[in-house]
Amino acid sequence: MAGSQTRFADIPLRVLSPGRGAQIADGWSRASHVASEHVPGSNRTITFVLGSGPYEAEWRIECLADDYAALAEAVQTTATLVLPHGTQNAPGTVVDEFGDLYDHIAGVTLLGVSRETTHRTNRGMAVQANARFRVTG
Amino acid sequence: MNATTFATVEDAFAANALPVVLYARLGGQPLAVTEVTVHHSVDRAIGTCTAICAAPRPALLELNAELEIEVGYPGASRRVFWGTVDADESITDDSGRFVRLQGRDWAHALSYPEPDGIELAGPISLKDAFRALCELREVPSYLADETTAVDGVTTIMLGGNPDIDGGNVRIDADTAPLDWLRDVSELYGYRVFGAPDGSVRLARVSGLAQRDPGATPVRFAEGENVFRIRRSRALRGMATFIEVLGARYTASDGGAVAIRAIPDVVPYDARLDPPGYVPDSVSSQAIVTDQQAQWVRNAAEVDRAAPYELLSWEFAGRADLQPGDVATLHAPNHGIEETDIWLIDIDQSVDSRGYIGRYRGWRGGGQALAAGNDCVTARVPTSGAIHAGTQTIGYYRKPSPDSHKNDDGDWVVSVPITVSNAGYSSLRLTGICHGTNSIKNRTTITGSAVEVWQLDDPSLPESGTNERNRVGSVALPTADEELSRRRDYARSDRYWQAFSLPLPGSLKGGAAELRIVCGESDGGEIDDFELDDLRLAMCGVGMPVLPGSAGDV
Repeated sequence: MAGSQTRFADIPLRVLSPGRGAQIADGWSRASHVASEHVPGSNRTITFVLGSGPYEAEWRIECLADDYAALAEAVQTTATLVLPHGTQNAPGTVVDEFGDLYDHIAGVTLLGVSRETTHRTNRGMAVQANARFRVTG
Repeated sequence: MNATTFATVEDAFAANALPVVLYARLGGQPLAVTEVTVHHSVDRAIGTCTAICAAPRPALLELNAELEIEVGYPGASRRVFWGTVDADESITDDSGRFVRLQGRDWAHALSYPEPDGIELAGPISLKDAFRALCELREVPSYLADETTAVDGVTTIMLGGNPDIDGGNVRIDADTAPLDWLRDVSELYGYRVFGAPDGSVRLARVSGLAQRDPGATPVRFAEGENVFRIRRSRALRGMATFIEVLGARYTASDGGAVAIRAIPDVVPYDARLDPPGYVPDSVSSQAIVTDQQAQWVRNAAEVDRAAPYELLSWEFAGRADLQPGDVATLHAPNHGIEETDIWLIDIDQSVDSRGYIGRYRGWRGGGQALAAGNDCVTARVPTSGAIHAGTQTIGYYRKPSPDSHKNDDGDWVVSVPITVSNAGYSSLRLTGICHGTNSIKNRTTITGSAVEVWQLDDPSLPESGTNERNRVGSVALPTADEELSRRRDYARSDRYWQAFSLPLPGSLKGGAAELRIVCGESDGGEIDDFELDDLRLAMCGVGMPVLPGSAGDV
């Protein structure tokens, strides 16, 4: 993962776009909590607006095998997620790291990893998996 | 784009998109809660609250900490609970770790008895009694309606009977003020309860719901602002012949008195046929005057003379409503058209379903009835006035004496009577008299009395095993003899004195005997006196005119 500063805590990772190889597949999303009740005998529906959920994202990521082992251990821990600046919409702090801008998003919980696949790279064995993050801080 | 804010609760109530706000303060500090449920009812004196927050327990969370909940919509939120935390529990399960807080509102300050009891100077209005007890227990916020009888004018006064607790109102050491308030206020059609706004209230919830003058009640209408609605009716609990039984006590003259009130006529109601009416009784030692018994009877008649009709519905919560308020309900499919009803229960919750208010309303009804006579009065069968004594006195109504000397050496007049109903609560002998316990010119003596005698079994003849016993006796009043004035007792009652004597003892139904005994002075002179217009007033046995009975109208 040479040159990549994308990481969760200190664990380097690359965010893949499924089938496209882009740096970031999809942005963060937030659940909109609403509840609706219909008034019988009318066309009226009351919508209770109950607020938004936390930012969440699920991406296909790739790590070296040793890094992936560390990432799997980090499930349900909370740390700072570092992503290239401008590629995501969650609140973060822009940091210049050796000439490249990165967004540091504090308080991100790694909810889980799944669908692992292993393949050989010129740097050794690498693991691709789906990783699910939530901004909880 | 602006965040939604409502100028008034009415504006929020009319909107279709309702951002829900939920604030909690624990010990005056903000607390993040995720769900809350509050319950208030006119029939549940203490309002309660359940709130959920994340575990572990916040440092602020101490038992008995002050808890305040506010819910609603931006610009239209109100306090819906104010009290203290009386229980909590922390829970871990697959849904997470959380803490559940239970709260009770300030009405609980009235919920423990006073070790020495409480005495309120009487007579005192129900409203003032409520306020005095709230002050005593330092209830932070309380509110009382004017407390009036069914006529809406006459102030309900408690206590006031000098023969019971000196006319004061006494709450004994085993009774919590809240229990006493709840029981007594309900007798008169009022309720004591904690309200969502944090006040403890005494409010009228009786009869047809009546809106405050100039006020426009909140309107709920089927097809407009009701998620679900139901209406139920039941004859259960309906009663049209209300008998009120109050305190039993001994009056200052020694007579037993039992407070009782009944209606004069019980109306026929086809819904209760047969027999066309339902009897029930209301009893309380807190009813100490006949007037109070009538007020209680009227309130019960108003509230129970119609089928118990409940309406329950749900809609988006509205934090400014309080139990005891009047709301207007329009539900044509349920036979309800623009009808004012009492809000008796309000349950509110904020959770993943939104802010839901669940309401129960009661459509009061019924009508107070005219008072009936609780006493049966029967003339004592005598042939005119009774002259007790030994002398022939020309200016008496009956110059020649009726007394004879009995085996005990007493000069007596025997008068047979019949006890028509053994279920009486008090029996009095009334009439007029002159010269009793007095001889010559206003010389007072003693010994002139009325004794009551009865056989062990009045239905059987007197025998060795069925003896005649003296059940009790009562002294006649002192009515001055005025020998030198030779009053004209024969032609008018002007110089006679009315008396009403409690007859002691417990009589069985059937035959009995009044013995009018003449007193005797120290010098051996026998008291001469006259009694007339003798009547037995038997109270506690009156009955109204019932449907189908003679006199039915």
